[in-house]
Amino acid sequence: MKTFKLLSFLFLIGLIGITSCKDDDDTDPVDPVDPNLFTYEEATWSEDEFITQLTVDPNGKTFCFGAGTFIFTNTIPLADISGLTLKGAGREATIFDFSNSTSTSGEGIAAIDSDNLVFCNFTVKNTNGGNGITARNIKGIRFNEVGVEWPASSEDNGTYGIYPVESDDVIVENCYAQAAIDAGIYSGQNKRVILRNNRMTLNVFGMEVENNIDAEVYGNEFFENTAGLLVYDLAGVERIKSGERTKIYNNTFTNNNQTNFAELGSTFAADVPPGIGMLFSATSYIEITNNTFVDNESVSLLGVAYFLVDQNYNPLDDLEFTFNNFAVNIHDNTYTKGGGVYNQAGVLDRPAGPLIEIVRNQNGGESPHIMLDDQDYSAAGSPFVAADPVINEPSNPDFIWANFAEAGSGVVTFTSTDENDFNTGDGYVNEGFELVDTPDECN
Amino acid sequence: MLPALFIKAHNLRMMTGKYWIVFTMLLIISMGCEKEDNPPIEPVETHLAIDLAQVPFANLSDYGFFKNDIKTLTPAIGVNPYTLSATAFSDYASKERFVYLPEGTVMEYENDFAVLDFPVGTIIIKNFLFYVDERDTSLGRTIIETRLLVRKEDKWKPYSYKWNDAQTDATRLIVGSTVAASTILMNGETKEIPAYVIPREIDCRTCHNLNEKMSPIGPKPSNLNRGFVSNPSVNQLGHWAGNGILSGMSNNITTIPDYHDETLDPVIRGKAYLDSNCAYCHRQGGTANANGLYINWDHQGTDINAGIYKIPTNFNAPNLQYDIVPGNPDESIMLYRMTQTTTPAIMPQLGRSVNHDLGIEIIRNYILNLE
Repeated sequence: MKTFKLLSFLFLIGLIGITSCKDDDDTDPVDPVDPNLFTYEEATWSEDEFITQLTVDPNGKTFCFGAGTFIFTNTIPLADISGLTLKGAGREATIFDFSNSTSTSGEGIAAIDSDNLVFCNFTVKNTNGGNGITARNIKGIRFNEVGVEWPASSEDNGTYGIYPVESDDVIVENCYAQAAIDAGIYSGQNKRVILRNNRMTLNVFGMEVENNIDAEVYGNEFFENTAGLLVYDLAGVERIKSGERTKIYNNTFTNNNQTNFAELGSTFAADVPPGIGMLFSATSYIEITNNTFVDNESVSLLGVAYFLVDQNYNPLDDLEFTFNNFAVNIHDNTYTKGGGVYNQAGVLDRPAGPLIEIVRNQNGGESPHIMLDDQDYSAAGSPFVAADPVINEPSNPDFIWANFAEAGSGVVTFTSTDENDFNTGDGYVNEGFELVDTPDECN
Repeated sequence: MLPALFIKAHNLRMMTGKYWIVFTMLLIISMGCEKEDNPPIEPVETHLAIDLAQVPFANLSDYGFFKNDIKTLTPAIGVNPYTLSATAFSDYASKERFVYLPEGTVMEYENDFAVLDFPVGTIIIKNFLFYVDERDTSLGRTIIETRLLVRKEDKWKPYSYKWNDAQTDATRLIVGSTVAASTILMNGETKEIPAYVIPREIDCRTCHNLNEKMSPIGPKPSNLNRGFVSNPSVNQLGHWAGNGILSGMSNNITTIPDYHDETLDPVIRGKAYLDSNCAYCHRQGGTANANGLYINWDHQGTDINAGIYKIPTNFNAPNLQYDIVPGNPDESIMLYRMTQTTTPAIMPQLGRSVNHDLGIEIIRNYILNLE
């Protein structure tokens, strides 16, 4: 019986191998050698052989890994490549293990200046402090069924899991990210981005959408992170100074109350208290709809001006940078709370925590579902007047519209607690977009 | 006579074109000499000619860059030595740089801060070596590796060669390696480098990258505008222009100073160090373009782009917030990362496994003197 099980298992593994690394249409029993296909198996794995093949000519090639664990001692660099597929036998079947990597960047994969890259069906594990997968300046990139993981929450983990930046036509789908000290999945300074059907857990932020133009975030599951989703713009970058047109819909944000495990430091993520479903700041044209917020016990949805990100930032430094949230439309989401535990110790441990505590104290000990900064920082010298958001929430969530300018001194002035004050007609409706350089499917 | 020729005989199969003809001619001359028993005639040395289609060769000696004893790095005709004003730190390795130009080709000046426009067929040759004692070079040295940047028809390509222990040749090494090295610095201090890294060829482009293309970094007019090491009173650019291998030169070139000069203004000194040690990535069009930190000498930007009160995009520095807090080096992430030797804090990320004491001092004084 045991033998039979073993044989079935081996047969199954064999099948996975065949479907992952051979051309399905190829029925010829004597396989001609495909010059564009390189295959690797755990038993015969040679990193030097793989790197040599990548060095000689990676263009148009498929690098296909069987089931098993592949040990890497250094980053996988990809540059100047037109068309490359890196794939495994399944997200949980093929592991790229960087535990013993001596890479000084600490990254697992680092791609740059390429087009039409496909990563699918493998997991990058345990990179030493660097991102799992960085992809800079790529025209057309798809991540499908890719995992990036560290085993548990630790301040020594990598900064980001999947990190496409300065790229066009980006798809991240069906991916899994666990225990990044900043965001599990990140999209920065990209144009035309689809982030869908991913699952993120135990990260500080599940996902971060930073300085993007045209992004759709949907079908994702944010589960037990410190905070679920961050959509914001960071000052001081060049390619896209102010992001705009982001649609966030059909996502679930569940029990994101984990203590922030990043060392206190320079990233915004390190400042963030636990218990937040979604946070947005300094972003424009954003539609948030049909999302489900469950038991994010500090606040389900929080919108703040850039002062909360960087209190020393001079809003006159760069007039192209949109300092306030602008054209925000929040409608038809559902909110529940109380099924989780408000993480007070974790909240007070972080620089932005007092804001949560003050608001709760002034709100009868209750966390609100929606809390928005009125963005009036005239007292702090900002000449900018913020536009009010449009809110249309039939579920009637607990709502606070307040001035956060004096939060550092322990004062938060509530202006309104009725979201109907902001139900002012047509809000910004995202029309969607079409990809230009459509990244390949994984095949 | 014959033994001298014989040194190159093992490269016969690699030789093509003009090089092969020269060799044959020399062989004929030498045979003639012996028959008639005349005093040896020194062969007329001709310009090195490398067939680009054959590059990369398996061994460094196959190129013929260096004559006589290869480890003396004595250049053949057509292989031009040069040095840079502000250099990149590479774990205390000394460097000897050369550029091979095909006969009759010319480098073109573009502007002070752009690397020269090199003709197709150019090979930039950088040798990484450690002196036993920098104060007395006669005590010997070990050449670790030689890196080549080859200007092919369409793009630059990198090739890497690791020297053998006997220092008789170097062999191509695609996948990199680590070696232990040590040296005694000019100040008498001994530096041990337990794991000097020979990068993988595939890593070269991480630093050698500008505007989506592989590119040389050092040989730009502002960094070449100085005397030769062997003859400091002769300006490198002037010499090349005079020899007809450099054209279009400007008469008034901005020079990035040598940061070893202790008499320099601390901010100028810091900028020179940042330009040669950080800005190959941290400039517009560099590998770190997305970070928005642009610290090349010629960047004219806002304070935030220079790092002043700038939050890094991709690094959580413990208990620090900004790249540079003017006047306060110990609160500046820039200095913090220069003092680290482990991932991910270490910066630069390639070419350094130990701290550069002088660089740390220079940047400390730079930040201290910023307002």
